[in-house]
Parts: sequence; structure tokens; C-alpha cells
Amino acid sequence: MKKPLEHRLSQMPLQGAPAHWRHAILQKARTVPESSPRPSGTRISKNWLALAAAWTLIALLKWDSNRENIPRTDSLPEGFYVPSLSAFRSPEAYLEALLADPPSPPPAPKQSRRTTQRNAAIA
Amino acid sequence: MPLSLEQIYDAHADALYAFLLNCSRDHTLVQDALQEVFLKLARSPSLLEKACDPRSFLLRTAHNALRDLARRSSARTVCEETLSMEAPSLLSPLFPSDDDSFRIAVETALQRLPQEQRAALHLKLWENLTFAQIAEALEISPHTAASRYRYALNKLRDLLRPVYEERF
Repeated sequence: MKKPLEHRLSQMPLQGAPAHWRHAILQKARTVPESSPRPSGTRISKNWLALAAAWTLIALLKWDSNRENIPRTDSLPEGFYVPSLSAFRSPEAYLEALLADPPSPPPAPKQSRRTTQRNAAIA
Repeated sequence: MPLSLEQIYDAHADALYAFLLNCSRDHTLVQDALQEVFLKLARSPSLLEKACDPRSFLLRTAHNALRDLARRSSARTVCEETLSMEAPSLLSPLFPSDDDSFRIAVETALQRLPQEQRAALHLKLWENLTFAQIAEALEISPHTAASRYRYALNKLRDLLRPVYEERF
């Protein structure tokens, strides 16, 4: 409950803003462009960024560990193709190749004329 | 439907002006702070819709704007005492039952309070906010808001004793 002084003070009316401020303030406020949210097409969600970061990290680690090794073929289910890490100069290039669709199959190994003739004879 | 800037101004500008004037007494700074509030609203019209209590939100925005502007113009703050003497009065003289001497005494007493106590007192007395709401508006704890209000009221009581005797 308010004491007498509090009550008396709270009943005292306060001055309002000068009348000429209204036009000036609103006029200036109207000249400011409304800040619009980014179009949804260009918005990158946090999840996508996290995924890209994880992919980059994995690729970087694999690329680094495979640099000195002889490229080996990982056993994958039939129809899957993962390009060899050591075939790329950087992890970014590797990631690009992974994300590119459809993945291009590896070039068929070159066969010598003699091998071709032998294969034909067997067939 | 969201309110237009004009509607927001008509509903809240007088209260914001009085609060800012009570905090600063620098008319130019008050106008700049009020302008800042409406520039912010013009930039993001949805701001006010998201607020639970539009008046509290606007008071907090105004208080922050005033604080930022005062920091930026330190020279102006130094001259605050000088300017306060020439500042327009906070209390309206149009109230018939209020004698002029009491009004002037209140004006003078208010100016002798520290700014943070004046702000808490204003929000409690003239905006009828709870201590929790005052705390939110001034970005302090409810306990601090309550003590600032009580200190301010006690000081005001002492200062006004010659012209006003409180009877319990």
C-alpha cells in the first residue's frame, strides 16, 4: 500500500513530449530502411555448417594419413565409389569430388595389346 | 495487426519523455534518445510485438539509448549540472490541487537524487511497475531496484519535510 507521500507524488502529472518533436522524430524514423531478414535461399543453417565442418575435418585427417601411403582400395558395397584421397591435392578438392553427383567411376586401367589379345583368345 | 509508428508514438512518447527527462534533464540528450528508440522500431517493426509488456520494453530501450548517448558525448555529461538548471520542468503545473511551491520543491528534490535512484523512483511512482519490471528495465536485480527506490523515497521525504509533513 502506498504511503501518503508516494500517493501524492504519483498523482502529480508529468510533462509530455514537446508537440513539435512528433513530426521530427517520426519523419526521421521513416527514412530508415527496414532491416529485412536474409532470403531463405541464401540462408545456411547451423546444421549444414556443422556437417560441412565435420566432413572437412574427416577428409583432412584421412588425406593427411594417406599422403605417404600407397593408395588402397577400401572394401565398399557394390555400386559405391569413393575416390582415392591421394588423388587430390587438397581436402577441399576431395570434398568437392565426394559431394559432386553422380560420382565418376575410376578410369579403366590401360591394357597392353598383348593382354587384350590374350583376353580375346580366352573368350 | 502491428501498430504503426504514429500509434506507438501517441501511446508511449509522453511517458518515455518524462522518464528520460527525469533521468537526464538534458533536453537534447532526451530528444536524441527518444529518436533512437523510434529509429530502432522503424528498423525492426516486429520488436514491439515480441515484447511481453510493450511499455517496459520501450522504457528499457529508452534507458539504454540514453546511457549509450551519454557515454558517447562525455562532454555533454560534464555539463549536465549546468544544463539541468535550464532544463524544462518534469512536473506539469496544470494540476489544480497542487500548489506551485510543492511542485517546485519536488522538482528540486528530484534533481538532488542520484540518477539511478531517480530512475527507479520514476518507474515505481509514475509507471506503476513492479520491482521485477523495474529490474528488467534498468538491467539490475529486483533487490537493487527495491533498495534504490527506498533510498530515493527516504531522501525525498527528508528533502520535502519543510513543505510537506507526512501523516501516517
